[in-house]
Amino acid sequence: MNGLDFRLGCARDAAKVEAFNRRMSAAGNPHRVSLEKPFTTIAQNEGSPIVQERVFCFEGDELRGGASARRMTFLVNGRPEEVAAWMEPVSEGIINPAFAMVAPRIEREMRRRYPLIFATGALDSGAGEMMYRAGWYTRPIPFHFAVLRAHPFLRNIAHLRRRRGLKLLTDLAAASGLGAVGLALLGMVQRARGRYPRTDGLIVERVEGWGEWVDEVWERVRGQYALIGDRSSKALVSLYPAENEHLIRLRFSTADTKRLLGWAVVTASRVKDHKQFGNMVLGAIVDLLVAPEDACAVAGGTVAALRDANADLVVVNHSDRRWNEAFERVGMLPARTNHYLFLAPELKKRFSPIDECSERFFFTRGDGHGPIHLW
Amino acid sequence: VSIEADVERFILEELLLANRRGKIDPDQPLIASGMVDSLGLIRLIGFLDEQYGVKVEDGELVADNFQTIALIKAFVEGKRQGPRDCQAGAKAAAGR
Repeated sequence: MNGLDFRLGCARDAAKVEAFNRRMSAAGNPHRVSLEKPFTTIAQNEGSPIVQERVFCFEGDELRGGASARRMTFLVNGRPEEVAAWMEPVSEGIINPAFAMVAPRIEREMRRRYPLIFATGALDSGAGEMMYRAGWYTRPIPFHFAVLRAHPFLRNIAHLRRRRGLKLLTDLAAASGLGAVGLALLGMVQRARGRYPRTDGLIVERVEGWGEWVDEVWERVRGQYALIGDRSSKALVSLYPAENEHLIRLRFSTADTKRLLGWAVVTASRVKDHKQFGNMVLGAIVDLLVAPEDACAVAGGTVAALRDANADLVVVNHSDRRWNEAFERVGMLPARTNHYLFLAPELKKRFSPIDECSERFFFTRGDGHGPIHLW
Repeated sequence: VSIEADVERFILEELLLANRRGKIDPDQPLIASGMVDSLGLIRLIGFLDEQYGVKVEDGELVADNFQTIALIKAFVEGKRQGPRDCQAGAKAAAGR
């Protein structure tokens, strides 16, 4: 293999992209390089504070791999700095050992181009393991869930239905009504422990778009998180655009004083043959921002809103410890997660001690890839 | 223990796992043969840092430095002697 060069992908690379994809396809590998906008849920409108790029790796004239990045402002310990999220690293080394150097070089190049870079994703993916092995700070983003309807949950949840015996049991529990009884009992136990949504005194409104009120929330609460991506109105217009019909935007305020608390973005979509959730109405808390002290009220209001939207199951990933405590206080249950946060060494250096600081990192399903696989 | 023996042990035990115990010829291709893949390379780079304090710079992350155990040895020795000797070491090993 000769020397490798890196540059941003552009339309004139179309033939090289096609040739690369043909080689991957011929080897039976599903990974592809593309010239399309990498972060599909982000609206790249005029004035958007988010920049999307594809970094391509060439050996002479031939494309050997690449990766995607999105750049935007984050508050790093309260200071605005440009931080990049990367995804979709692809290397021809997957199909041809002669190009084994490509993936490590892409990882190096992304860190060189974007010193403050992070990724989210599975630890057991090739990219996840690569970052972990290359010394990126790696920590799980906790996962919580609440079953709202036992029957569709039991009939569809893949994790419980992988083994034949368990599948039969879940079918039996669903058909006999035992699942619903069990869920009601769990609800009673949780209530006795004080773990249930409290929505008294909370006004939850559906809103169609983002206005200046979002900036008021952003200015007020952003300092409470050690690392958080821009969630000003300008950013939200791109991240959660009005034209995305799957996104439900909620605004929270107090009934008595009409004090604005914050907002949430959720989805409640009937998924079809989903790898993990089969064919149920999946409720997902994509993103939500309020001050940590209001997290419990807003977590409860969000679960209640998803119940009203006929969700069978509510799921959420959040990296902030205070939010995860809030999700448990409203009756959600923790489960094993394979969704991880990876911080490049240069970004990691900004936090000391990192394990303590990372409890106040704000990463949701809206970060990294954005809200995908939810509808 | 020599660098060659150290690297060989690391590749056999850590990258190829215990069921592939055996011998690796110092001039046997590691990358082209698929014995060491991308992840293996990253782990190997971490190993060289931990074991010998050798930091692999971006420009040094080329197959010529990692293709065989002999080249890795030459690379490590070159790095320990200083940046100028690094390439000379690799060339000497390549000419074996």
